[in-house]
Amino acid sequence: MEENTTQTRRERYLTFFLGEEQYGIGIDRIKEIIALMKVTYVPKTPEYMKGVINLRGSIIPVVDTRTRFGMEPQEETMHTAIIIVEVDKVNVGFIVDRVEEVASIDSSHLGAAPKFGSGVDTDFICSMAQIEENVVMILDVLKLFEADELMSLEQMQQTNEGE
Amino acid sequence: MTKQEQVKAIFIEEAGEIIEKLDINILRFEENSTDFDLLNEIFRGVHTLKGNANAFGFTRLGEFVHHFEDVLDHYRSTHEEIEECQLELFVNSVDVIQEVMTCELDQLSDLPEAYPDCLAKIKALMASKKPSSAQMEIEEAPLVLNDLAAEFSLSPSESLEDLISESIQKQQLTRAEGLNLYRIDLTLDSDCYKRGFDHLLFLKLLGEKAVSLESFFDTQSIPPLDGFSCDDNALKHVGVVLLSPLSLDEVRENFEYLFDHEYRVSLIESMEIKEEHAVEVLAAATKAEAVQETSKTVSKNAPALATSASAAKSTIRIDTFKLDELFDSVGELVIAQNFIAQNEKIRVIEDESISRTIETLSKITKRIQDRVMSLRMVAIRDTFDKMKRVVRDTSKKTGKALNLHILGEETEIDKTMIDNLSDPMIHIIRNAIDHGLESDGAERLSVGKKVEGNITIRAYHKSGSIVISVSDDGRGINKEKVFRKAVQRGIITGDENLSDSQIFGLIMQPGFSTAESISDLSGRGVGLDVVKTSIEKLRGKIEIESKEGEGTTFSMVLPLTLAIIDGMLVQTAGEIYIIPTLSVVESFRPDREIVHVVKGQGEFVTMRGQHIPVIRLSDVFDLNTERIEPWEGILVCVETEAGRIAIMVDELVGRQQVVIKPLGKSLAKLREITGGAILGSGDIALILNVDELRPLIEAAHGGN
Repeated sequence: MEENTTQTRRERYLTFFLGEEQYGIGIDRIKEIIALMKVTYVPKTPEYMKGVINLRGSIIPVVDTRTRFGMEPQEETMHTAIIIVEVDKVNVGFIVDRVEEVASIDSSHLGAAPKFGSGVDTDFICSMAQIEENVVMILDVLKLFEADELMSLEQMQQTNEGE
Repeated sequence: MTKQEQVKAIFIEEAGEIIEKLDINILRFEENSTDFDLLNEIFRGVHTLKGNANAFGFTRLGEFVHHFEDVLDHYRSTHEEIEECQLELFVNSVDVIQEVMTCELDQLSDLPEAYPDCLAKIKALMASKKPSSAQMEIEEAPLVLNDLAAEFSLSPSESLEDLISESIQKQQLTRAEGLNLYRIDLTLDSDCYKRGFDHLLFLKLLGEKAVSLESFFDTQSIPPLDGFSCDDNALKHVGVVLLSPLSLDEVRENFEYLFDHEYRVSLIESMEIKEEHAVEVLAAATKAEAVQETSKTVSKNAPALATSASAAKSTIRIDTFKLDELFDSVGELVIAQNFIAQNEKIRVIEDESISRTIETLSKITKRIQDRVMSLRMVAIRDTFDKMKRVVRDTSKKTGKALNLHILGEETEIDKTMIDNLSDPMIHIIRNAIDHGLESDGAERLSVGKKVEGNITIRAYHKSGSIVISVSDDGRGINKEKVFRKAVQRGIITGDENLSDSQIFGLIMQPGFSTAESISDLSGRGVGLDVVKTSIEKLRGKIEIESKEGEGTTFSMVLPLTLAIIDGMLVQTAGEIYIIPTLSVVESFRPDREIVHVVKGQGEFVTMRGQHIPVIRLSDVFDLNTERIEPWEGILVCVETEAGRIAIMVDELVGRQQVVIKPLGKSLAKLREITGGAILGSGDIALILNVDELRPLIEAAHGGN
């Protein structure tokens, strides 16, 4: 107890893998993790919008996180999962290769996001942390889905509205 | 939210509903002022409102409602004829109640303008109706009650006398043959306990042979606990209403050991109620016995109230969020049920009882599903009833005589949509009366119309949409005037070649108004554009039709979002899509000969001399599929705003009622898709918005 109080705040993150890289999302945003299920394709959406799923009666959009990060698509495995995240009061699913664990990360161990490398648009990464051997990239889900997503949809809409 | 706030929120919601209902009922009553059942209903609403208002410290509302209630009560009990000016007062009173409610909610210190005037009129009316003693009570200064404790006490102005009379009246209505109704007033001296008498003793005696017994305690003179003496009787007055087969003498016998001034028994013959001095009652008594008795009173009151209310339609308020949850759960239930019904392992069990149970299960599930689906849908009647009021007021303000016709008030529409419809409708209706109808009867007569204008409000289904239209038989829209004005206002340049509907559409542009004088009601140039945007928010649109000299019709065409639609399930490239059945004209596999390819314009199918463009769903949606010829697939011919089109799909799957579910914020903007639906299998099918499906070639042209 005493030890904890003297230390800086510890935050908990759900970590998952995309290929070789480990990412984390703040646990308070995670609604649940479900096994990959049938995704209904929605036409006229950006490529990374995998489609929609029926989550116990409500329809929620699902993002193919690999495509979103510009990674090569990969065959589904038994580990492939959908993480349901609440973004701006709306549930959104993110397809990931493998869910790892819930890790507690001391806020003092969080470093700034890198400005280059990783082959990933660094805007989505708000910070990085070291867990044992691995570097975990903490994602900003708001940026991951909302901002960019809506903008691209809006742009699409505008081009359509030219009629 | 604290408990208190929650309770308050419930009150506010309830009060809102009561007031809304009052508004409707009072108008119905205005039409037929001899309908005393209706007056009773109004009275009940006002009564509930009064109790609630006082409990929550809305004293200004409480006071007004209290006096209003008195007036209503008078007419309700006497069935006296109500004069027109009084009816007007009633209608105005409901207005004031509405306004005071707003004041109370916003915690404004100012009272609505009409408040003192209206209150004074009510008091004056009451004073003229009631004997002088009652008048005194009315003119008492309003008592301030500011806490919940007030809920447990009777309103101070609610006298013991009133309660007794109310109880008597109730008993009068329900009493059976052979029973006598008594009113007994016990005014025991303070030393009665020492003499061996007790109120409860008498109540018990009376109760032995009673069909019904209600007692009312005046606990006002009970001293605070520190000065309280258990040897002295502090209850100055106890009123008893007794329904019993006993004769007057037999009842009197019970009291024979009391002093003459300590009791009075009277047999109630008629509805006549004697006015006595007002005595205040506090039901929250300090004496244990009193509490016990009071609760008895309450419990006896309850069934009586229930019987009188049972005639009215009983409803419960449910949070729509809960309904949504119920929706989803039922969806899952259906899927689970389908799973069981189609499960191979269960099927191989050849047991009659199992298969019968499964069959029953599917029937029940279906029934629950249908019921739940219909929960969200409400008839538009209530909204239309509200509009009657708007029409009446506008007609009075403008001085234009008119007849209102209402059609299709049974049409069901999604609750969430209804909530957003009132304001646009009010606007359109005011507009129709103020601008649509001719300014005076003479003008109407001169063109061969009757003096009274006609306003028609109508709701109906049309090709998968709900249409709500407001028509007038006035002068119609003057196209040239509109055109000139639009040029003048800089909305258009004047060079455009506009169709009629485009010109009519101009009046809904921001900053446009053709009314020569700006009136209180409309004509400020804000409004129709607001109406347009609010209808567009509901994903609907407004259509205007007008013939000069004959009238104008504003139609709000609303989608059935969130509602249930009957859908045709089609399959293309392995995905299932739903086409609203209402827009489907026919579906068929075309003969090779009737399909034509027009260079640069795409494919057409010729049917009964008509050339209908063929739209390949797989092309519109960029689906990866093997390209097939129209005669290898199925064409679904649908009616759209832009005319008929033939949607080409791989095959038809079936027809089903589905609930439209939104695809979420981020996907809501997809025009070609109205939403999704969850099929029995648990899969999602997208619902097509046929109006947005255009041949690709045309869309490319339109892009320029």
